[in-house]
Amino acid sequence: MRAYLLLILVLIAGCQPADRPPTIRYGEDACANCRMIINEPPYACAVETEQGELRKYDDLNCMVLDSARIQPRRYWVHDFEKPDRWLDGTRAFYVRADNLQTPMGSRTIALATRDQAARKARDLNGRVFTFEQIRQEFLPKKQPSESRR
Amino acid sequence: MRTTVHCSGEVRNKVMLGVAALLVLASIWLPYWQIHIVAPQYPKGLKVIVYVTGAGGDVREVDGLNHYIGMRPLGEAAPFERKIAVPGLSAIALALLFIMLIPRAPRWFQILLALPVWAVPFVFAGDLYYWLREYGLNLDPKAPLSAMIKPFIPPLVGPGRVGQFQVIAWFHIGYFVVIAAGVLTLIAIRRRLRCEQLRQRVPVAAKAAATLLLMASLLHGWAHEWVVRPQSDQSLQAVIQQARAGDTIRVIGGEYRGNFIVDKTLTLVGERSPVLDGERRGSVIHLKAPRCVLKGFIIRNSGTTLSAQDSGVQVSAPDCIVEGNRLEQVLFGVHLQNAHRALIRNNTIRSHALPIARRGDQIRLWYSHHARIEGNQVVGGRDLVFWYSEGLTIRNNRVRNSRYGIHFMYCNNSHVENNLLESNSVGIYIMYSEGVQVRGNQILNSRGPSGMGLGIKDGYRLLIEKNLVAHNRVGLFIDNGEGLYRGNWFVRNDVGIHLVLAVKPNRFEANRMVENIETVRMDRPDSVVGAGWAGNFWSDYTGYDADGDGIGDVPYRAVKVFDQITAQNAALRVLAYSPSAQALDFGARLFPLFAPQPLVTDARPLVRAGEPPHLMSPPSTPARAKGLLFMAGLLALALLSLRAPGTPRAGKYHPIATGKPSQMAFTSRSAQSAMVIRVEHLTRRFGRLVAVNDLSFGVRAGETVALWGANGAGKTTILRCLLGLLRFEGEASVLGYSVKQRGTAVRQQVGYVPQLVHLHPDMSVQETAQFYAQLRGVSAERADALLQEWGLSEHADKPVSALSGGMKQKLALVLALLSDPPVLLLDEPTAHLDTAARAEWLQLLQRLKAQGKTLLFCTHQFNEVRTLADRVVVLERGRKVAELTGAQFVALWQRHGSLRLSVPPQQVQVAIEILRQAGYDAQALDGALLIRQLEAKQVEPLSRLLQAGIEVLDYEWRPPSEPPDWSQIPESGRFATLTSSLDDTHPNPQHKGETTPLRRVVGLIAGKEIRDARRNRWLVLLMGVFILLSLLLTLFGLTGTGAGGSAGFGRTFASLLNLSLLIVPLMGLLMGALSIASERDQRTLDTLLAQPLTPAAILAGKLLGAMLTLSAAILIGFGSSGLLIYMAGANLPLAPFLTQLLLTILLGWSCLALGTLVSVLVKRGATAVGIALLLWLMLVFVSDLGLIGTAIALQLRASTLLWLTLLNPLQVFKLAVIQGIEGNLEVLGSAGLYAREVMGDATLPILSGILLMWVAVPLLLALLWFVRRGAIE
Repeated sequence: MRAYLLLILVLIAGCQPADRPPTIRYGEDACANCRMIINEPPYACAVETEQGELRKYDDLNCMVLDSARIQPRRYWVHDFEKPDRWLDGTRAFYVRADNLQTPMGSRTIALATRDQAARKARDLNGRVFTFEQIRQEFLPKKQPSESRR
Repeated sequence: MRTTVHCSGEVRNKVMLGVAALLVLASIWLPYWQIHIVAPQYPKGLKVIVYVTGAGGDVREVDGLNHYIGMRPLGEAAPFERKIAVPGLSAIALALLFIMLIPRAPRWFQILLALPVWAVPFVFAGDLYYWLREYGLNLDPKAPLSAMIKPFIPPLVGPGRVGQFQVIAWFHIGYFVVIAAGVLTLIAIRRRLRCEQLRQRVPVAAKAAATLLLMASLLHGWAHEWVVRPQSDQSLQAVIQQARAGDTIRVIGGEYRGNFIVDKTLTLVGERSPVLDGERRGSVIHLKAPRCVLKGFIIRNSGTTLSAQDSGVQVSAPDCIVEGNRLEQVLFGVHLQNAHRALIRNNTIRSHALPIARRGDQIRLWYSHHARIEGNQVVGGRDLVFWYSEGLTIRNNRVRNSRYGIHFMYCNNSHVENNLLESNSVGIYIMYSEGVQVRGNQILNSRGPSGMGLGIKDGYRLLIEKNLVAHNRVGLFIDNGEGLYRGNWFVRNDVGIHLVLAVKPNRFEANRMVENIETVRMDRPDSVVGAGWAGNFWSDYTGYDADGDGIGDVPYRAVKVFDQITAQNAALRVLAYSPSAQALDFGARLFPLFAPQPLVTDARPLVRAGEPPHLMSPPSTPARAKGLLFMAGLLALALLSLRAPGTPRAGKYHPIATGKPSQMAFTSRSAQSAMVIRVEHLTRRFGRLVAVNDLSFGVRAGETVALWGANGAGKTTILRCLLGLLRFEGEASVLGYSVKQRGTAVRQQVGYVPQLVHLHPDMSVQETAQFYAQLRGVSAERADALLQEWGLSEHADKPVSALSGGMKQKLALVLALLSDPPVLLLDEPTAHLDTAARAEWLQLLQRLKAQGKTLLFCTHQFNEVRTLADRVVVLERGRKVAELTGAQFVALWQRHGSLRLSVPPQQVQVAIEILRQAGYDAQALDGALLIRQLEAKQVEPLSRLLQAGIEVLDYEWRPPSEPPDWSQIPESGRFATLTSSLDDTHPNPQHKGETTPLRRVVGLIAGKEIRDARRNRWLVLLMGVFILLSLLLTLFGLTGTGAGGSAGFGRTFASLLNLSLLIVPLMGLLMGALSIASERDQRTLDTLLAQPLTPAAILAGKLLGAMLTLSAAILIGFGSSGLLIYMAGANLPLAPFLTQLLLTILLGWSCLALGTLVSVLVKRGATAVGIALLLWLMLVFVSDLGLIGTAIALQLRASTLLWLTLLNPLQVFKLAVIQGIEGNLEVLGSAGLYAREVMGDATLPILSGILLMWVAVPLLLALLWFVRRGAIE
């Protein structure tokens, strides 16, 4: 019995989340927010919760809306220019442009540097956002009266 | 012709018309409409005032609020109307002035000029409503609150809601001023008209119609028809460019390459299937002009760039028709952008064979209202997806093997009817849409990722009616929505209805919930509000209908303890589909007091489902005959497995010829002088007890040596050491083979007769003899011959248990002699025999001695020594205290021993007298005679009594009541024959005798194991239960709607999974537990181990037999189920079926291995069975329940829970089966997803590998233990 308990403890200890980028199975994994099947790597993103759970999304607005309900530890977004490359979501730069068609209509992409983002924004006639700014874009705004309180 | 009459009041008419003109002009600066918004943060509210020239009031504030909900800025509304408003109204005013100034203008002309002023209020109201609707319904989905705010239409007049705000709207002064102008105009013209005599007979409408007809006919006459052939001088694109709007181009069969753009209204008709080939670049054809028609083409090879949305047909103008085309090798099929009222009908669409991540949508709509998608056949590709389009009609389409059969994104007020959606990942998914009606569709086998038949995510005012939703992973999935679900059939889905969240009421009426594995699931029942269930059919309803009205008399209640448990820790869903989860729910039914709140209560459940809807296409029954044959093959394989391998075949195996004298007897002089058995310093301890202490002796070829000693002297231990059944210190060899190193070779040369033979009681004498004959590599004929020779043939058919003690011992001797061994070890062979049998035995042994056999036997029967022994080794508490020739021993013992004679009681005294007279020390003892100090004349007293006519019933040489003190006897007297000649090592025999090949030995023991299992009524009962339940579950699965043609294997799979999880482990554990322990109980293990076999071979044979038996039972269960399914004409996917079958066998083997480990570790069969049952309880129930408790108490993460789950082979099996059948573990919740995360595509191999480890590791441990400790003690 002691050995069994020890084994359980070892397993619990061994199951600490590893700090590694997520793996998304395109065409198989479903978005944790909208339940759509994730298909397009450039827009796919993920968060890792404090509990070690990995939640995957098909679009950035899904990630922002869902992560407001949980406690994310890390945000992962794809570099639009190199869709197989993961970026730290909090350090990435975002471009939002009306002529971008993304799976859930966020019309937003992530890029690694501010320069890249600015270039892309020029090309697409869009705007550059930081992580916090794009979060505020997607999150429901507080009513003015609430903010006064 | 018309005449006019003079009318009075014309001045008044003119005034009225002048005022009307002024009012119209004034209205330009007056507000027409106003809406007041009650917003808490604006105490006075907000107002928007609409003028004909634009909006005023709190427009900026309102725009700020609208931004959150995705409404466009108000300033952007009605740009055209605003532009024309001032000139338009001015023109109306001028027109009125014109009427005023020219009273004699023709009547119709006056009316024509007055019409606009009357139309203004209607046009304004209609236009305003259009824009209100446009703004409210087309909210920007990217807006921050878009997920929370549903599309809406602000009220034109009166109170209403816009998002979370209350509003009130009304028409303003300007609007009424215009109305007043209209009224004044109407009065004035009416007054004028009264004064006129109307002569015009032809109604104006008729004139207008005639004009239109004329124009249409002219237009038709102008339209031109073109014909294009492959060999034409002009390319198709050139003709398109040359043609005028309205022309028709007939394209004749052939191939036309390029990317075609139609930028004017044209009708393109393909004749004889012309091919438009895009050469894998861009879109094949793009209809850019309204009212284009594209009909009868084969369209193929679009580009494959996803971001460019390369399509077969792209449409970006309204009122186009795409009909009867075949699209092949296209990325996107038909792609509509701003193509309102398009008709996409009867096309066949197949996409490029690309990885799912690179596929396009087969039909895609983008802002294309009122489009109709009808009768299309779609295979493969990604989705039929509809974005921001209103009033769609999706009807009679067939979509197979796609991702989303039909997917709505922000599409309101649409109809989805009579479509067949089969084998897609998701059948229909309605997101962020309102007023959608889904009726009469068949949604089947949606089992891919997400796996929903019908999914709702924020869909409102839905009507879902009369659909057949069958064999999906989840029949209906609702993540927030509101609707009426009526008359649908949810049949054999893994989960019938899955409600994640519902903040608005959903009503379920007259639906049929038929044989779904899980009828209703709610992730968190408290997050589902207002679901109403009435008059549905529930196939798991257990109530009754006493009054026969078709309505159950007690409510239906779905009670799911397991669901409530998973609400505590969602990762616990990993234990779903386990017997433990079922047991919890079952327990809740048995003890309602402890049951949680029911998930669903239907107060008026239907008791009959009625006829299921007719399937649009019956399930294909591919290769039914092949399937039947396959299942029959499985059954045959099972029967073959149950046929004992190694069953004797007459005349096949004759390694040793029979014959006399023994071929193995030692006849040559040198061989005779050699030492056959050599024992040097043999010591054996049992704990602290030294059973044999430093013993050395030898036995020469053809010699008969007795090991003499009292009980506990160590005689039997020495024989067992010589057979290699016990470990010992020192050295021992037989015929030159070291016992320690060549135990099998030694046993091949030795025949062993134990003190009390233990044979399998249920085998007949002949079976026993033949079995051991084969183990020793001897023919069955040899066994029969020996039975004949030793007088056992007449008992050949009797079971061993029916034999007398003497017969059993004789059979033991037959077994020992089977391979005609040169050496016989006999352990007190006559100890349990009566006098007559003993005498016969001694004769038999003398015969063997005469044949030249070397005999070593244990005894404390003086007569045996006297009759047989050439030498005697005397043992006392494990030590050799004397070694004498037979004669010396007899002489010595006759001085100390006594002869006990049994005579009839009435003759005892007479006999004593006769013997005393002859000089014997005779006396009566317990009704018999005892003659002491007999010396060497032991036969003489018997002769004297017989001569005197006294019958001797029995006789026995008895040692003295106290053993002689051997130390008192001089050593020269005790060790007359020293073992110095041990140096004469016997050479290994030239003819070693055939050692039976290992494979054959394993096969023989396996065969016996199968036979034993067949004769074990408990095991047979258990297997029978398994097979019977498999059949019953399958039959059950085929009833009802299954018989109607929609049968699948989902539920049967799940039932068999549960059955496998419950019974197969029990069978495996019990068979394993009994394998060695029962042999120990019957003490037949020693008999087996005394044969020329290794313990490993014995264990391997037993395991093989048990594995085959278990596999056969599983094969029969599955095979007969499969046969039944095929015979019923239902569809059965073979790959998952086989996967489940193989995994079940693997599960059985793993439990068998565990049971075997238990069996070799414990000494008694009952203990082994007890532990096996405990293990079964542990694996099936206790570990799961423990895990549930731990997971809830410690809030274990999904990852931890998964790894803990994998410690249980049953759970590993379950995961592997679900992975094998479903292709993923999503149904097991977050832990399942985590499993896929860490194991990826190798999930099934890894899980199978773990299961295999559960087979291999216990087996290896059992083998190691058995070989090192369990068999040889």
